[in-house]
Amino acid sequence: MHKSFCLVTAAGLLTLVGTACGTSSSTSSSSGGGTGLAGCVGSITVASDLPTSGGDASIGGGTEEGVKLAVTQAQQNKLFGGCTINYIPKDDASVALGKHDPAQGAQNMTELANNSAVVGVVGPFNSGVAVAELPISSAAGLTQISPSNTDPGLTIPGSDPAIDTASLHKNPDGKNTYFRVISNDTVQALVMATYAVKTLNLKSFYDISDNETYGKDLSNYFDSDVKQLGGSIVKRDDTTDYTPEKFNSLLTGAASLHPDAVFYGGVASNGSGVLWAAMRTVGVNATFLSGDGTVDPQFFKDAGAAAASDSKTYASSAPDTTKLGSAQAFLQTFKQTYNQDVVAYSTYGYDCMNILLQAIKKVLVSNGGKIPASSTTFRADVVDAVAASNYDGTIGHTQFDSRGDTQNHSFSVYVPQGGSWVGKTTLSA
Amino acid sequence: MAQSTETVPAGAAMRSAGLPVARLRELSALASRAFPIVVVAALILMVALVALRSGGTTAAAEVRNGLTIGAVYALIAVGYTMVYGIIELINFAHGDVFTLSAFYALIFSQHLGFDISGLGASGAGGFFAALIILLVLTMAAAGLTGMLIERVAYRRLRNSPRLAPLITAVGVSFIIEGFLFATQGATNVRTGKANWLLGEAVKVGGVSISWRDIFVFFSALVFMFLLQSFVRFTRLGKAMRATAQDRDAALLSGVNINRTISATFFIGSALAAAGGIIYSVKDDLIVWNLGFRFGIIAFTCAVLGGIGNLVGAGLGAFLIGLIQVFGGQLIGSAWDNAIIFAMLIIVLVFRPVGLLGLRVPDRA
Repeated sequence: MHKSFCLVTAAGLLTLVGTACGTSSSTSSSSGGGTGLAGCVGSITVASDLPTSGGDASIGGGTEEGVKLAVTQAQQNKLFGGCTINYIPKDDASVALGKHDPAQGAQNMTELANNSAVVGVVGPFNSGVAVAELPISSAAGLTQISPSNTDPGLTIPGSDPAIDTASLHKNPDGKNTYFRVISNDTVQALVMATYAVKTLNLKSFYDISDNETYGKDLSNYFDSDVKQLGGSIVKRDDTTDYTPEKFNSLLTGAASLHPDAVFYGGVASNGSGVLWAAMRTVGVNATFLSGDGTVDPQFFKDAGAAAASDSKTYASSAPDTTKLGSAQAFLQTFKQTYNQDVVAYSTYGYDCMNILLQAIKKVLVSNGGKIPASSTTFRADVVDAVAASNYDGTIGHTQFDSRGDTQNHSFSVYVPQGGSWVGKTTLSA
Repeated sequence: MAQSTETVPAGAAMRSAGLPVARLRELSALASRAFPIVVVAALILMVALVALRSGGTTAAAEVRNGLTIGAVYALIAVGYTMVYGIIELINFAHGDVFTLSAFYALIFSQHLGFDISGLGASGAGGFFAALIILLVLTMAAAGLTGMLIERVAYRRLRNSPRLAPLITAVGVSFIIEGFLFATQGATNVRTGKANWLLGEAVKVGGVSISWRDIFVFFSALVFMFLLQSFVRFTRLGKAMRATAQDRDAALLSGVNINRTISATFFIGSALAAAGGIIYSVKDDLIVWNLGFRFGIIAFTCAVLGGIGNLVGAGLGAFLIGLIQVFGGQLIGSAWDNAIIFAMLIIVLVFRPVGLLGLRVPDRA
């Protein structure tokens, strides 16, 4: 009911109405902005940690803009009554790497964990960065909600041989402090493998990974899923060199095996687009497949004009939310605010921050409209409130299981259209 | 380098140890003599193994890949070797001059007032016209940059301990990278030369050789030939050789040392610029830190060929290009940098003078 109301008004009216709708979906249960919080005094600090410069600037920056919009709207709507919101955006891309950097992430997280005012963090974007950050945030009892981490090893022990899951969760009270609003790579790989083998009728695959936490594990799952579905992996390489020469050489080695498709388990800042272009250079006329790391505007910058509407290029990513009714008001406000379109994870970032803010609000209300005196208690209460989230947002319904994983298990297949990624179909596994 | 000063540390110890030490020295000399043969034999073996395992087509295609990337290394390696030959400085900023000049070319092409990318793509005549315009502008700009770097960062340190200019070289390298990162962005940049040279020139046994491959390979050869002739037959070239052999004697015979060294930097940097443009035509993607890896690999090429030796640098570059692609193909792509630098260690241990060898006067 609320959703349809939003749709109608937002379509016709101005930003303000649209923004009011954006946060109204679940504030309504406690009947609007300031209930019991009018007397709240002080400011509440939340943060985000995303790669917003360097090679990840387009995808990370677009996600951060979604997060920021949630904060701005909550501020405007006086979500916490008399209390204001202080938002700290952190960038985990480093100059040293020119892209997301686990070391930078760990440094950011240490800073945020030591700042006792911070009660929750949205991020990180990359699973490899999460591996570096989780031990720090969990030990400090600080909530982290990721819009985009897909490595199953972050929450499920034994699912990624490269990750010791138990060592990431160090909360002294044994609480799980890490949540994510997107499903993991076991689901993502299965969706892509099924689509490739069953729908596209591809049989033989050459798999390259960028050898990072996310990419390598995604490739591993893709390989085993393809084999289970009756396809074959003719060759598998892991590279840390993302130059055209490297990809030329790798593709030359695989060309004689005549794969139907090349799969890239990696992110765009590690050369998804460079690989795509190299396939043309070497003359490997196969279908290009990849995961959500490739659904990034950077892909088209690297791949060049030929990729803009290529019909043999597919990548899986978080369910395409741009067609969901629940996202329309947000999409419009986003466009008006930033004068650009959302990236694949803007809605996810927006929902993550809203989930965090709603949880904080719940804590404030149950504490008699005041900020808890002890920052440790405040953090612990926010963790509990986030764990109990039951949120309807732009990406649909979000509820977490005991590990902090979303119960929403679907992914979309995206294709290039006029130089950007467009959702083609959404599949569940 | 080290070989010429090598002495037996303690004569008495050697006499008492007797045979083993002598035999060791003999073996080491043998290894040094056999080194070129071993390198070539190892390469042939690698090609054969790849051909056996993945088929002749793959092996032939890798020869093409190795030679084209080797051509780019060659143009950078000659800059290292010239500078080392003349002032015994490993100019670590040289790889970044290569990247910088690829960006110079990009900036020139944006501000020429006409569509040079379009010209470059409009047939053979247009291609050569665009290429020559860009080469002239960029090589001049890069050459001047090289001279500036030498004037600012190296000249005053010419008689300091060798570590000092080496550190400033690393410093200059970081300054250039930082400048490119800040002004040109962190991501790959397309140079607009992707469609300058399209199409297949010839097919050799199932391997397609594109016009681009041919251009890259032969343009490197042409530049190397021009450089070699310059150094051999011009007055300035003679001055450069004289300065490399003995700076003091050259000074006494009336060679203007500062001007000669400046010219060396100009030429080395201009050739790196040619490499930058050729690389842009080859792959079209450049990025701020491209030169770091290319520089350090090109340095290895120069050492393999015999640092200070121009022909050696070219030869080393093509060999390293081939070793890189075949090594990667055989052992696994994760290892190809390791293979290149293992090669560097092997050369330094067994044959520090490199394949063609050039005894650099030792000024210890």
